[in-house]
Amino acid sequence: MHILQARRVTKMFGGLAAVSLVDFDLREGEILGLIGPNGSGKTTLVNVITGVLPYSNGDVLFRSQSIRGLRPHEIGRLGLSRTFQVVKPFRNLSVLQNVMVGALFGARGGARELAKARSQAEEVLEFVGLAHRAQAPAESLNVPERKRMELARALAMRPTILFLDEVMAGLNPAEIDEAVGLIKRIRDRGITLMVIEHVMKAIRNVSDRIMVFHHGEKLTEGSPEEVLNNPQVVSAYLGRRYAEQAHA
Amino acid sequence: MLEIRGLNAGYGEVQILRDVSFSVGKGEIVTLVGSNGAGKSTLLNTICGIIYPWSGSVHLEEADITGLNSEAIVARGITQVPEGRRLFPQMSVKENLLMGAYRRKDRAEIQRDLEWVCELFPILKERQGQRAGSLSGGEQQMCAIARGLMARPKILIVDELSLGLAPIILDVLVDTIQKIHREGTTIFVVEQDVATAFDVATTGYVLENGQIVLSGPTAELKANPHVKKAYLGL
Repeated sequence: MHILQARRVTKMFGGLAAVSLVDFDLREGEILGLIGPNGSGKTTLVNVITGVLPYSNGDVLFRSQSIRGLRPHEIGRLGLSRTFQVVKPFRNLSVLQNVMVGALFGARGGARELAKARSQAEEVLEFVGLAHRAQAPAESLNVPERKRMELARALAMRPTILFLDEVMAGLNPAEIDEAVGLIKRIRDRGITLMVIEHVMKAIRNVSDRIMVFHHGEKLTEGSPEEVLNNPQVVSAYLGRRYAEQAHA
Repeated sequence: MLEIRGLNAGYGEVQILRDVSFSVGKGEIVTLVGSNGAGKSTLLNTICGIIYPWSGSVHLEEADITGLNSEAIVARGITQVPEGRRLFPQMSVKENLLMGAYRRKDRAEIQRDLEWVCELFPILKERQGQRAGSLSGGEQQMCAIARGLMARPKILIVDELSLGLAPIILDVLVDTIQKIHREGTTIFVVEQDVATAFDVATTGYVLENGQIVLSGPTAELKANPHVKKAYLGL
């Protein structure tokens, strides 16, 4: 069952096609990895789907209904939630309050009462392993903690589909293993995920399928093994040092 | 070139750096690696005059520069390429590059250096009129390194070269950093991605809980069982 279907999605910046005629389907309950060089259009695609940027062409269907032209908050309330690559928390609010914002504005109208939003936010912070920092000011968090708070805020919206934009950048190998486990537990809650990531160890371990972008176009998609051994993907994305390590 | 001796530093009552000593020789390419929270940023902040150490010293070419303010430290020849690039997003690529040279008066030389950094990173020449905020992550990192070079530093410090970059883009940056080094710039890379750091540099230091726990040629460190397990995930 396809929960999201993208058809010929195109985004132009002036004369430059940042995303060009992209078709893909997201299957309910899967984790789809999205990789590609910096500037290949991955974040732009998510920005278009989530209503942050207007389409130049194409359409996206969520449960067979077009979501083109909806505002970001309307798309959020439909159940599509996301993290941002550059995390911008409300710096003067606590971690818990930041996550409560997600709960209050979330899917199906969000939590209407503060007490309910608070208990949802507390539950999510426990789930992502940040409960011990709940009362800390958001600005006191280090980068990995901020990314985790961003993830908690997105989860508190109780999404059906969650887009993660580089939540594992800057983590060490043990922290990456933890994050991979966390993402799989999110899927076990019935949430479909699309994950943008450059950390190959993570993307290989977390994805059911991987889609590769290059110059705004879909280069290929398939199982992690197929995609990561595809010579086109090695030359466009993975590069020399990756190939050397893989054969070492 | 750069010598750190017995550095202790922290915030308030909390000690972060514990008796940190290391050096970067003239013409060398050295890396310091560590996980999040190991003290890498505190160390850089201390070297660059943003925080004052509790004890210990920072020397540049034999001169004691401990506790000088950031501007004075830049004037002495230390330039940092900050984590997250920190370009001026509304300014053009060329304006960002020229900001790197803002202390310099030798206009002809500045022009020559502009051509040099555009040779190192040809994409910057193509994009010189474009807003820096519109560059891709890889291009921003190239612009930030080039801006740092425009100061003609005695030592270029790169904080988190690899963060958020595609493997193939990182290949280009690793090659270019090594080329910049071969052309005579002393380079100090502070990095969390140990595999990349040890590919770039010839000498490495490992920082854990504010202390240097290992050091040596990166070729040897790569084979160290602790490094393999904790940092390379092997």
